Amino acid sequence: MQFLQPQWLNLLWLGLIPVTLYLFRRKAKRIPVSTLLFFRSLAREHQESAWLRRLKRLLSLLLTLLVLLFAILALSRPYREAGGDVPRSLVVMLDRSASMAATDAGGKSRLDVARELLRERLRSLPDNVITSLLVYDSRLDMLQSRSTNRRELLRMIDGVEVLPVEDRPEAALTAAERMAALDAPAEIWHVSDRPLTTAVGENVRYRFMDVAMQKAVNAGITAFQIRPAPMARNRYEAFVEVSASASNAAPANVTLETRLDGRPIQLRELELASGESRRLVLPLDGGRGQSLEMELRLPGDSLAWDNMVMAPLPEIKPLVIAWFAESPDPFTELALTSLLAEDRIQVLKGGGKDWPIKDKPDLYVFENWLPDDWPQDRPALVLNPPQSVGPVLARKLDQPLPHDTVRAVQPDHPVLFRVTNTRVAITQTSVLNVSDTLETLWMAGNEPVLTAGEANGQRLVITAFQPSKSEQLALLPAFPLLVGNAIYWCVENNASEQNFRTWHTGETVPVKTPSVKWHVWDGSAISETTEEPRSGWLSLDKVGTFEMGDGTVASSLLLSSRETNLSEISKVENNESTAEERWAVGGSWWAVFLWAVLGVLLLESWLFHREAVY
Amino acid sequence: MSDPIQEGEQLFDAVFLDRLRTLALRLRKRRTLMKRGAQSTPATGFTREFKDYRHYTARDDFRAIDWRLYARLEKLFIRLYEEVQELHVHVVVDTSASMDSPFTEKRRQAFRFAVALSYLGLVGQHRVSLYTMSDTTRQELAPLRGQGNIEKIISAVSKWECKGYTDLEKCFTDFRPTRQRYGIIFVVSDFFGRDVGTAVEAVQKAAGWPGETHFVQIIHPQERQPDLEGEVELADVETGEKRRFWLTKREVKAYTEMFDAFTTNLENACAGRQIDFFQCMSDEPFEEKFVDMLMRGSALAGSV
Repeated sequence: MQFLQPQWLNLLWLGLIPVTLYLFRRKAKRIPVSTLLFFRSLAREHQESAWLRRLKRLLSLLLTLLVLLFAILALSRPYREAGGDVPRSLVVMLDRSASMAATDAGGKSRLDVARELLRERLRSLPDNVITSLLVYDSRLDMLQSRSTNRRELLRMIDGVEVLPVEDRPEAALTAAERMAALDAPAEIWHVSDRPLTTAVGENVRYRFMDVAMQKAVNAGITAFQIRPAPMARNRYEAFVEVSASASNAAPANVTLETRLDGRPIQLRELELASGESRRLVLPLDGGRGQSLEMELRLPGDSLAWDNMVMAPLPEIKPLVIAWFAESPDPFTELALTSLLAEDRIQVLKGGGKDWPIKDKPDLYVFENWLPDDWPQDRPALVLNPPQSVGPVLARKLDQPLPHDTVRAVQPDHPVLFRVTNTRVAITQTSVLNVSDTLETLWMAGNEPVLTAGEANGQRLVITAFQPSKSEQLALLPAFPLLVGNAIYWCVENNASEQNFRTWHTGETVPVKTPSVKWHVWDGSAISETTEEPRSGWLSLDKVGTFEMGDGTVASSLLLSSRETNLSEISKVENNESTAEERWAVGGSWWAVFLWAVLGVLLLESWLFHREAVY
Repeated sequence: MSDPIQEGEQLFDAVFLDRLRTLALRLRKRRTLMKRGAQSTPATGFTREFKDYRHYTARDDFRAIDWRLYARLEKLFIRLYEEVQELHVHVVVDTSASMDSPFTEKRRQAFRFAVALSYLGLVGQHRVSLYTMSDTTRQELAPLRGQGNIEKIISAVSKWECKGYTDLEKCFTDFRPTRQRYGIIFVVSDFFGRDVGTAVEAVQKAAGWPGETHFVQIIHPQERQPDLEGEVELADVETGEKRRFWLTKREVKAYTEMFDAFTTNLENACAGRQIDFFQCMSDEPFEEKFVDMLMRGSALAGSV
């Protein structure tokens, strides 16, 4: 047995005091009496025979010495090591990401299991081992740094809560290795439901404590986006990706329910094989500001945080488009007018003489004209540029060139969404020189006739044809769709469109208001709460929607295939860790000695003082 | 234990003997003042004490004729005197260790009682037997008669040693006084038996003794109300048993109550069996107590 504070052992000499008092005790006055008849009749607690008295005195001395011994030993903080290498320091890496909230059939979460495991392991750890506690999800927090206060460590562990955030253990491992290097030899205990994929340094002993479930069943929503449907009033489109965990033993029959303002509007049933993901585009009819909820249900689902996405239907402010045209094409006007009908666009029409415009629009549309000083503050849709200005490199053709067909070079580009190029014949009026930052979307012959991209952070869409001169273009819905897509794509990052935004949990967003109102999904129900962000930054550690005071609403969603894909416990690792844990049999004994002191005191009280003498 | 020879010289010196004689006279005087003696008997005989007149008959002794009365009345009357019976006085003295230790005054008082009673018996022309009792009863002296034997008695008593334990039941069982003559039995002891009830049980044995029985209990005041407090170890002088006690005033009070109850029970038991019970403290003046005891009614007192 070793002692953390052996200097207290010097107090053992105090045992001489009771021994001295015992040896040189003042004896009771011996008085001869003619008879003990009447004394014997007194109450028993006032008398005892000599041999019993001697025995009691000796026993009392022994108990007193025991109390002293145990108390001094307890103060000296003894501990015993049964064998093995006891590290000088220990760093505990505790995962608190969303997957640690997965519950088993008994209702225990992975974090509950982790707490029990840690408590059991730490109980047998000698008191002299320096401990640090590091909890992580996508960020990491150092809750205890290089301390021997075991009680504080356990209290900190009990206070850890799971957050619906994806985990990134690499940063935590780096921090843990640095902490371990300060007090070598050190050991890192990694408590998680998912092992590391990166290698651990050789200078530190690493132990993984797997708290994953034996059998996990889970499916969740791993991607989500919503936008107003183009060319449709009060219609939206929701993009959803539903994934099943690879640990599912059998195909998962999931139900996806869509609700608007709490009223179910759609129900989809899907069968997902283990590890399969399915992407859905769901049309929604709703009004601006209505609350959209999509909930995934799976019998026996272990993790609830990935089952819900919430978003308010975007409240679209009309786009302000400044249309500068020399000889405006009527079909261009027709296309823009169709967008007007949806109350989504406000078009300011003007010519070259109106340049520059006083009120800044959301988008410039230049048709058959370009300003001499190219504006870089807004995105631009350039239709049929007559010359090169700024990032637009074009030259007007003296003679328009008809093309019977156009070839879509990048059919998946958002500008070409639902735009079919079959039966499209155009008349090329300009020649474009596509810079490195622009992409050709349509080719007519060998010439690019439609390009899109970014130049110096400014989104551009450039067409080199005129619809009024192009056969079978004006009469097709392709051109208005093209114009609409081009407009939306150009203004995609525009603030006026940003009154709805999906954020991932774990991110930090700037806020300008002192309080933020949340609608939080806790895994079983939606509740409201208010939070006061610090220093103008809001940490997204909840699943739900949050409304800032200025009316801006955004969603904070898990959307993590890593967290949805729950792990199963590894049996091999478990056995190894059990075998290695055998060194921690000794542990701290001070509590044992304190209990012993209490026990001896109680025994002495019961033996000698239970019958009061007064 | 005190030296018996030296003690004898102190207990029974010439002063003491003078006091005994004086005591006898006082007793006689007191008795004459009383209208009734304790031991008057209807029998008549030649005694010193006039009792009554009766007409002379031919069978009567002519020396008993009261000639003065004849001179007055010219009739013959004889004087009648009280008859003195010869008693056998048994004096049983407790010589257990408790009579001498820790309070030697008890022994002194008890022995004085023994010698005084013996003296009165001798003076009254009675036969006096002396016994000691501790674990059993032993006859220390054969019956003596005549005043001159007081020296023998004093010498014997002086040599007595107080030792051993008290076995009241055995002592009272072993003591068998003769039934041929009417006797007076004095038991001088503290009556501390092995148990609190032993003395009362032993009284039953004494109830069958022939004659007048007197119990004289000699105790020390501290035996009734010990001056003890705190932690003490008490050692029984007879059995050697030691016990530790923690005594407070409450315990001493309880003790005194138990002691008084003991003596009361003993007294009641004696009264129920027509045994006279007399208690005397060892620090009280012997003479006064002795006279008081005798004046409670005893044939011995009437015979002086």
